[in-house]
Amino acid sequence: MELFLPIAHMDVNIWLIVSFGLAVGFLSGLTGVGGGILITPLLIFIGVPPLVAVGTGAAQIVGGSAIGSYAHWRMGNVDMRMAFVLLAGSWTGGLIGVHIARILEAGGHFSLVVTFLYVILLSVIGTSMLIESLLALRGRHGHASQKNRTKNQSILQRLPGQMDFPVSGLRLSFLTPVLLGFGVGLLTALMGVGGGFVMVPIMLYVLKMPTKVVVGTSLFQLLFTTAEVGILQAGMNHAVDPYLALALVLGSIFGTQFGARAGAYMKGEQLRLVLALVVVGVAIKMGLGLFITPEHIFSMARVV
Amino acid sequence: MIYLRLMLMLLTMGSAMLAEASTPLVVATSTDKVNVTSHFVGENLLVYGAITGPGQVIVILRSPDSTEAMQQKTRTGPIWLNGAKVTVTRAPGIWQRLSSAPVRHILPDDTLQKLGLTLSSLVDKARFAPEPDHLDTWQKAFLDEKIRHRNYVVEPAGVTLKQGLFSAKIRLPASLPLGYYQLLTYLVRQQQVLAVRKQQINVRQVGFQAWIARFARENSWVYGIVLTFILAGLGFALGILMRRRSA
Repeated sequence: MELFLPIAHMDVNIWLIVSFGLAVGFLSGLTGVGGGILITPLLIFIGVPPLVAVGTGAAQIVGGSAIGSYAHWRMGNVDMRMAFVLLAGSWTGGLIGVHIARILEAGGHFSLVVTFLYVILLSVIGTSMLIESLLALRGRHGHASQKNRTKNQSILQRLPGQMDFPVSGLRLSFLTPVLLGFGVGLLTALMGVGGGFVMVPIMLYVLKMPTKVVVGTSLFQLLFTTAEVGILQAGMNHAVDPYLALALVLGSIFGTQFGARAGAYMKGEQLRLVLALVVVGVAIKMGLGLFITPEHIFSMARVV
Repeated sequence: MIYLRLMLMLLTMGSAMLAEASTPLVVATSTDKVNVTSHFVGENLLVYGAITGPGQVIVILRSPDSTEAMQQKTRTGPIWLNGAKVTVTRAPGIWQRLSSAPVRHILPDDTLQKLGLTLSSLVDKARFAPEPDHLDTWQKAFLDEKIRHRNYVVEPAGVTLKQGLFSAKIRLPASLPLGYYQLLTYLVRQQQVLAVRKQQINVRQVGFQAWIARFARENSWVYGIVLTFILAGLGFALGILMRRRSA
């Protein structure tokens, strides 16, 4: 069904978008790794303007994470105090990020910056997943060295503004989660991702939060960060397309469920390897775009 | 199909033409409204009519002016970066010229320029801001891009002329600037314009699509907040539904 997208200003077969949501949702349901990092590149590949791809990418995560956040909140897996401190950082980061996106877009540099950021991020994530899953397949498990962790911990303990987080059973400076949130907020605004891939490892290995609380808290703060960024991108940059966002949510909800069910019958390590290869592949395709001589030196877009 | 329409048109127009036999050019269109809905993937606009005596026909369709953001890619080392950005105004978003013969054969150059019947006259009137260093390169690129996207179309054999009857099929692309389009039909004889007919085609967004597009633009904050709540609600409702089914 061909549909004209009112914000992206282009024709698209809406079932293609639903299938993007399905495929990415399936992968994330299967492997437990958030698939948000793949949605924005896919949208850019089919010709959605990068700013709209980023804005819509962030907004659709709201739909994808709503039910999970609710479930974890009901189960008491959310450290509310931690979540709000994180949100203080991520909402600030989101606000500044959307402003930066606006300035970059006005100067005509946004698409380039997004491409660079994605090439870097996808390469890092893809490579580390690749190594991790290959090691796991060989039966070895990578552990961060104990020495390194204790050193990090001592630096964190010397920061001012120490605060108790009873649910997580931690005492640490509020500055750490605020900074972490800030970075994630920036990523959400500039790349249209939830940032779970950054937040979860840091919560686990740097802040040393209990695993159960990490998943619930990161999902909870991600819901509200993407909601804030979605609203800002729509209000400030006119960059959230309603049909794209709805189609993606529809696809990803079903995809995630199918993926989670299929995951019960398949091996995790091999699935992670597949996802890692997909991520590296997308990074290479985006990266090549920077070096290949463009077919058309001049580009044109109707403004009004 | 076209000829069937022509016959019908002639029947209805016949009496009017007899009453006013001196009219050298009569023009009609298949519609005077184009409704852009969310399913709009372009439309054919049929222009047809009759001329008395010998001559050639030129049909021009011109949309309201639109603003285009142009950008040039430049190479820095091995990497292609986005270079200069120029905004082009005062040029029509859509411009199509269909004729029964190549226009340079039927009208002198200065007349073509004066009437604005050439692509170069369009780009001459357009404003490039900030003015780039090599304006002529940008002007040429502007036309190339417009032609590539089939926003500007020149069809030297787009008008079929047979025994005083003519017809032309104008293909409107999916992405159209909105507003009143001007349709000008020229009758040319012996290197001179003998008659001109002017019509208007109203291109407008209708239905839910139009409402959404306008709402998102004019009340962007409310739109953002409402959409975000709808997305959260949709995700929540579907999630509950799936859980119930699997439980």
